[in-house]
Amino acid sequence: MGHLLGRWNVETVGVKPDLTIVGEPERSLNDLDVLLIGTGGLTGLDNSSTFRSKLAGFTSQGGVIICLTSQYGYELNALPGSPSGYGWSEDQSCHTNAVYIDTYHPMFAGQDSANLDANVDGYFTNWPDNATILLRRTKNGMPAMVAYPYGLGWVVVSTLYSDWSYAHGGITLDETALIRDLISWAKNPDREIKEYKPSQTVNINVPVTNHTDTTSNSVLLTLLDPNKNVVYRTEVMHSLLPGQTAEIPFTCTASLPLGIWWVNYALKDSSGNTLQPETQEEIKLL
Amino acid sequence: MVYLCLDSTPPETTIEEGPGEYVDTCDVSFGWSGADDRAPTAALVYSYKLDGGDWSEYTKETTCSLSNLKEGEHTFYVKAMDRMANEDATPAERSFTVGPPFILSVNPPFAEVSKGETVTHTVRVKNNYVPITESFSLSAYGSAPGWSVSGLSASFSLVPGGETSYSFQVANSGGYGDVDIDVDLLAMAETKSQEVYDWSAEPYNPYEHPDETYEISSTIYPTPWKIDTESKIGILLSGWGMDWAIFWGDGM
Repeated sequence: MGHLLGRWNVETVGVKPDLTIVGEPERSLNDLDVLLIGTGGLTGLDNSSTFRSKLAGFTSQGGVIICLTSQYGYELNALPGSPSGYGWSEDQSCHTNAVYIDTYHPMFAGQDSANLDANVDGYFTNWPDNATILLRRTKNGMPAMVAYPYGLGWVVVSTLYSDWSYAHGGITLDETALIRDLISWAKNPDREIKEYKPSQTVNINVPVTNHTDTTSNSVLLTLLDPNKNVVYRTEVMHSLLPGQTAEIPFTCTASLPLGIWWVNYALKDSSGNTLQPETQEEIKLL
Repeated sequence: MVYLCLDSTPPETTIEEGPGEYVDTCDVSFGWSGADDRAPTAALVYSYKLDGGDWSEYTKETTCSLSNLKEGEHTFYVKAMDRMANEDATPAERSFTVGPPFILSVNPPFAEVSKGETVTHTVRVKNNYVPITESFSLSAYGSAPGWSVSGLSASFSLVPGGETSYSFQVANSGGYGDVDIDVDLLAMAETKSQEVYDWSAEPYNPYEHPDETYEISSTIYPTPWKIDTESKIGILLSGWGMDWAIFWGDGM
């Protein structure tokens, strides 16, 4: 999973099975925004009440858990909300047109069709009442991805095995875009994501804050496509006192590729030096 | 006057010829003899069996050949019987082990590899006794961040007794922990595997690298894993592809 996210320069940190942070003994699970559980990640941990309660505590306080498929469906019980179903040892894997979108969600921003080619093995038979069924298996209509709020956070659980397929050269373009946009959404699930169609004019106000103790002179806005490629940069002359917040208008034309785009900002001083490094602040959906 | 001589003593059986404790063949032969206190040797008959099989019919034969034995441990039993139907109650027996039909070995043995070091391993394949010229397929692969294993893929034929060897390299370019290497030999519709590993001489101590951002590369992934110990996105080091989690070095 880490390698797949590395494709978009998404930096991650390891979380040990006891849910402590690798290399950062002072940090705890609750310092994270997102916890990714890869294929088979719950195996051997599903019977641990401590593990279960820590996961529940993480999502209760606003964390987002993203979990891929398991060997056996009962292992998914370890997740908050206790979903269950069938894992890869209990089902036949599918690839082409394996799933279809049941309910639209920003994580599908990069999809150009309701049917997705995706590596999927297993499906759900039980899910919380407040869950949204996002993807269903084409073969039997059973859910292959559900999302539900838990406390202040979210659980997104799927029977995709995209980390395995990425390692074995089998990941599909649809699946790649889905994981990419899923992560983009999960970083801040409460953030409003505006939708634009290609060729539409985008007018947004980018909220910026000077977190330094020096007055800034200008704001450098950077537009990145869903794959984190820099598409456009513009410098807006706008002074900000230390701690001051402002909204900077930003205009562009929506374009391809489909997916969640980013507008980052950096602050510069009067000499043109970077005062505050680039920060992700605003996203928009095409 | 007639003297009736009652013979109630069974004969003794001795295995005279046979395989040693270990053989690199699936065909073995045995020879045996019997001795009785009254009956001449030529009057004795014998029965034999292998492992838990059925006893053979009694015959005067004092040799037998067994072929196509399976790899593993076997025990051969033979017992004599005299004309008064006295059976040897303690059959002679010989245990032996049939070696594998083909041998796969790796040299030098997998061991510690220092950072920057490259080790060349040689895989030797021998067709011990497969009675026909057999086609073999050999592969070796492994993957872990900071390691590279030069792929080995070869197909070849070997006559019985023939052997060949191939090499592959394992390089430690900054890996932590170990790299699992699978050496698979496919022949006779079965796979013989060695799952082994080399390991790094320099275990990673994350506490010596606070707030570090770095990349972990792997041969099987197109892109590196970008690590930032201050990232807000965590990946549970459990499940598929996470065996290398011990690379983090703090005893998880």
